Amino acid sequence: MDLYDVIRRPIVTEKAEMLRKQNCYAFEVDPRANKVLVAQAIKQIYGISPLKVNIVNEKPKQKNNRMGIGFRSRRKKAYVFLKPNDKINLFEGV
Amino acid sequence: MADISTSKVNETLYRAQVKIRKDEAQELRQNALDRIRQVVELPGFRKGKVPNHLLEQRFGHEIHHELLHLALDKVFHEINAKQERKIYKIRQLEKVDLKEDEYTLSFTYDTLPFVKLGKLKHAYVRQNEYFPSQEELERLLTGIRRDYARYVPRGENEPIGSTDRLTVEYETLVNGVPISSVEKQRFSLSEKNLPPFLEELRKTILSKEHYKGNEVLIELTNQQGSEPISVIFTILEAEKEELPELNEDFVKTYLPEIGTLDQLKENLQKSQKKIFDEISRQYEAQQALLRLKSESELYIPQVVLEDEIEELLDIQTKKIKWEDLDAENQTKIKKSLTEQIEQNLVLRQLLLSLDTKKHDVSTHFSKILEKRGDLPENLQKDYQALLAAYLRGDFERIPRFFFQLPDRMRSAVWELIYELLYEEGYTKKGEKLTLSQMLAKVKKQE
Repeated sequence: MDLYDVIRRPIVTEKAEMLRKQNCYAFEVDPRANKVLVAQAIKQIYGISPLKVNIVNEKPKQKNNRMGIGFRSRRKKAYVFLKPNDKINLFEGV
Repeated sequence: MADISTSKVNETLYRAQVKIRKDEAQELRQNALDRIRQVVELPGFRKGKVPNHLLEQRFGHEIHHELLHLALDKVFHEINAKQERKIYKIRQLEKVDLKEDEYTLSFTYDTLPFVKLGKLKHAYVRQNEYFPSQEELERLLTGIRRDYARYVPRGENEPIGSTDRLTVEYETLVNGVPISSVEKQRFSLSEKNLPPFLEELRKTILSKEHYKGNEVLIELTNQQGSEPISVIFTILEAEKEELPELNEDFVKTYLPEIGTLDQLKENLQKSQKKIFDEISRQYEAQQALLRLKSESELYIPQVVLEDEIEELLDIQTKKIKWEDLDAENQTKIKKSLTEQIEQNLVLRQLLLSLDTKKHDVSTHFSKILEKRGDLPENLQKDYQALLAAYLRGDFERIPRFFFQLPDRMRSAVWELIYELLYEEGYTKKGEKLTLSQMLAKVKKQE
């Protein structure tokens, strides 16, 4: 798998913003990716070696729609912890 | 406090240069961010919880505008508190620099209108004494006699006179085809405000000799696009007006409490004079105000006039369509509105000049309203608040204030001016002086 395909998008929510105090960034990643691949991808894209990576598998939630029962798609989240002086500019140039 | 320096460009235009220091600048930025935060909705965040850095990244432009708005608001407030001439509107923003730690602004602004009142004694208007002339009296008496007139039928060969009462039959034709059945009408030729087709008939009858039994054809002037309309009248009856003899018997029927003709004439003279005096008193007050205006120096920025005229036209154009008026009429209306605005500002300045510590205008006004007794309590309070805003210079309500008022309050304001002048001690209570006579007596300015 190409390292540029591992990280899908940064997660920008209140909860993710709270983790920023611990120099932690949240990303949605490819469900096939693992901690090692995420760390390698971060190094490749931002040039920073993470301190550690935590992975959370979000189970698909059951939702009712007019056709009957449906599911939201599953997703994999990666919490990337950086060293104190490192920083990622998520919305650079926006 | 911001560092503000102002310089005069002309009487109604000023330039301000402003520096806002770091601590205030940060406070303003935080306020601007808080305001934007309250309205922004971002997925992943509850309302009002978006962090500053995200707001700045995503809504930088809006924040800049909000910040400028807040900064100008603050500067306006400070200029209005410190400077003699208050701000009306910014004319041009010349420089805007809202850096992180220090803000620099430079702009030109129009001031609120300013009036330097001329000498009050120059407002004096000479009022002519009036006595109804013999001719006017005769006209009045004829009018009264006409109410008691008798109508006598005219003979076949007698021409119709201008005060006759006619009974006519008429038929209306459009393009030569009758559109209604024959109708009958009785009316007097001396009546005012006759309907257009009877008015035409009167003109035709009085232009040539006409007799009882005649047929008269009237062609009504065409309206655009409509078919030609004609009316055929047949004069069925013509009655001559006979006025009663002007003698003591007539006086007794008209006013039993008055005995003689001379007394009736005297009575009429008195009532006529009273009506005229009241009208001339109002006219004189208006003239005095005009004189005072021409003696005063008025500084009204063009933009204020334009805004006010627009606002007043909004009120007036409910009745007339502005676009339908030709250029000449538009100019005329604009000129008269300008005149009204100017007069109103002069009147306000006059009230302010009479508002001393000794004479509290608001208290006087509330007393006057109470004394009138024709206003409910809540309306009295409204009027007082309106006057207070007017005197305070609450610009939203200044120039429009006076002629938007209900008649009762307008007359109460005039009464207030009279009252204040009485209080000034130049006139005695009960002494009936006109406004200009009173203004001429005020020595405070001299």
